[in-house]
Amino acid sequence: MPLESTIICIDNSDFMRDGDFIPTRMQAQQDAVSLIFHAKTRSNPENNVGLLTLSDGRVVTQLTSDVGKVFSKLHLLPIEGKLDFCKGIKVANLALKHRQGKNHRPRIVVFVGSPLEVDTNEFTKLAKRLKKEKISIDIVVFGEESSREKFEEFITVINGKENTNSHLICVPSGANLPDTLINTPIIQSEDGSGLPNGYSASSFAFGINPEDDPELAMALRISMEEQRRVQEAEIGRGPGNEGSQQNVPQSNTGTSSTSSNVGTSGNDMDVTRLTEDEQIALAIQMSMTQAENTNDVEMKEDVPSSSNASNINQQTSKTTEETQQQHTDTFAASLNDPQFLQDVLRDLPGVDINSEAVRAALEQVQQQQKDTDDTDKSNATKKKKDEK
Amino acid sequence: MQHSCSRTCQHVDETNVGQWNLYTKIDKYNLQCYNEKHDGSGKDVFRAWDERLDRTKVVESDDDPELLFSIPFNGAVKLTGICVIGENDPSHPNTVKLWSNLPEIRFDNARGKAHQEIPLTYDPSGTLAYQVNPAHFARVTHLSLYFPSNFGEETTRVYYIGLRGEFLGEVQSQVVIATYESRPQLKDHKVDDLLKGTHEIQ
Repeated sequence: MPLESTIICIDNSDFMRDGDFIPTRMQAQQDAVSLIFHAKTRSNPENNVGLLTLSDGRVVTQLTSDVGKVFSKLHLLPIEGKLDFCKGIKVANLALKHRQGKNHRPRIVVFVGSPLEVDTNEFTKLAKRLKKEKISIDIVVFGEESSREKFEEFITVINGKENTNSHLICVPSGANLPDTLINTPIIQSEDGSGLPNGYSASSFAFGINPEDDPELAMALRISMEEQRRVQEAEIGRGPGNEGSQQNVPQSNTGTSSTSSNVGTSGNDMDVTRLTEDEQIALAIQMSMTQAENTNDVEMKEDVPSSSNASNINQQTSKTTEETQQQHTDTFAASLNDPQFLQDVLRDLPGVDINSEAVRAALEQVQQQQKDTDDTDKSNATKKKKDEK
Repeated sequence: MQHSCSRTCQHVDETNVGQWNLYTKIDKYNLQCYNEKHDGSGKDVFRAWDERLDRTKVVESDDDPELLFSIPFNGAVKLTGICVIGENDPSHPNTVKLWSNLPEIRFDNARGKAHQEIPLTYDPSGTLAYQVNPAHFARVTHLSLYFPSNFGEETTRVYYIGLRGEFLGEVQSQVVIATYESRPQLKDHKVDDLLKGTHEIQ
């Protein structure tokens, strides 16, 4: 991860009012700049980034690693004037020359979204000068096709015969500028993706790469399925729900402490909003209470309401926990439901629903289900007798 | 190198002090050669004195005869001599300009006055060692070498640059271990004479 000082040059000419990039070209640029800033600071926290406007060659933010300084100025940029490429690059060169990090590799990232009017000689001289000073440059041309060849020549001169540190990226009109940039060498460093985790521009579901953490991806997927089922079920058994919530499950005391953890996350099981710790707690709880809770689900519907009177105090304090428990119970129950499992597995990448291993596992679950059903029924009748 | 006294004197020529091993103290990762044709070739010319005649390692300038080396050291050195080996033809550099402790020297500010400017002559075998003026080079943490021109070729070729001198020691790093006081207590800072006008706590 080499130390780098980057100056980002933004095109703030009148052409940036154009709406072919959603919502406007200027907005798209701002998003792209924030993406680049995060990528650079992630790859090395000592990297510096500065901002410069191309219409007047003005340094908006000096080289800094402070995100606030850059972002506050970024969103206040005026749209005015015409693009002056050479002046902007010369000013960027000067700013890099006076950088604090003398050991940093200097780099310029230029956004160009308007027609280029430049003297060819001056252009080539500029390229040679940058090459001599060992400044790498990345040019992002968006919405404009007319100046493409000129920039290609520019990059070839700067790169020389063997170098590949400078790049030209052309983004056609209507594309998503930040998303296109993610796959380019601007964001990708030599050792892989410099993309920060969970960034909104990510194209993966849940914003988390399934390759990085397959268990987490699986847990998230299951949770979403479960949420969907709970909602469907609740619509179906609306009135029946209230009655069963009043009853205190017998074996609840041991697990209520862990369920209170889940209680803090709110009633909806949107796992993506839980912190990592809570997700882990949820996962542990799920595996612990699996067998127990199939018991509880059956029992809640069987235990008569005569036990209510003695337990009212406890109930009020435990109601919130119970609703959570209810949710987790039904969730655990869903896990054991073979139909549900089949649905989930079908959606998972790389799992062949018809393969031997998967079939065997499903059969095993069905078997377990049957066993627990039988034991539940006998337990339920036993406990009814105890209650009475 | 001989000095002007008679053969039997006991003088030690001060400026001849040192070994040709300053290349070991160069911070190679941050060493930069500007206007080199092949990226990274500039680092190869700083090597052991015994390997000075190796012709496989060369740095060539790109398109014009200028070459600039920005050399940080892993500490402070005392530079006493420099040796430059080039080709026995007009691609040999004819001048070298030296600056000490100015890491921001690039082509535009290198055109001005240097700490020392040495005219060079053909030296294909490393027989010439040029004296370095001790005035600016008694304690060097960063050395800049600029070869502005050669004897007539379009590009300049250098095979070896030797630096002679002494290593003075590591430079203290910028990170300081500090103890902070929320409220300074006089008893923590022993001062002998309370009647002094100004106190300096160092």
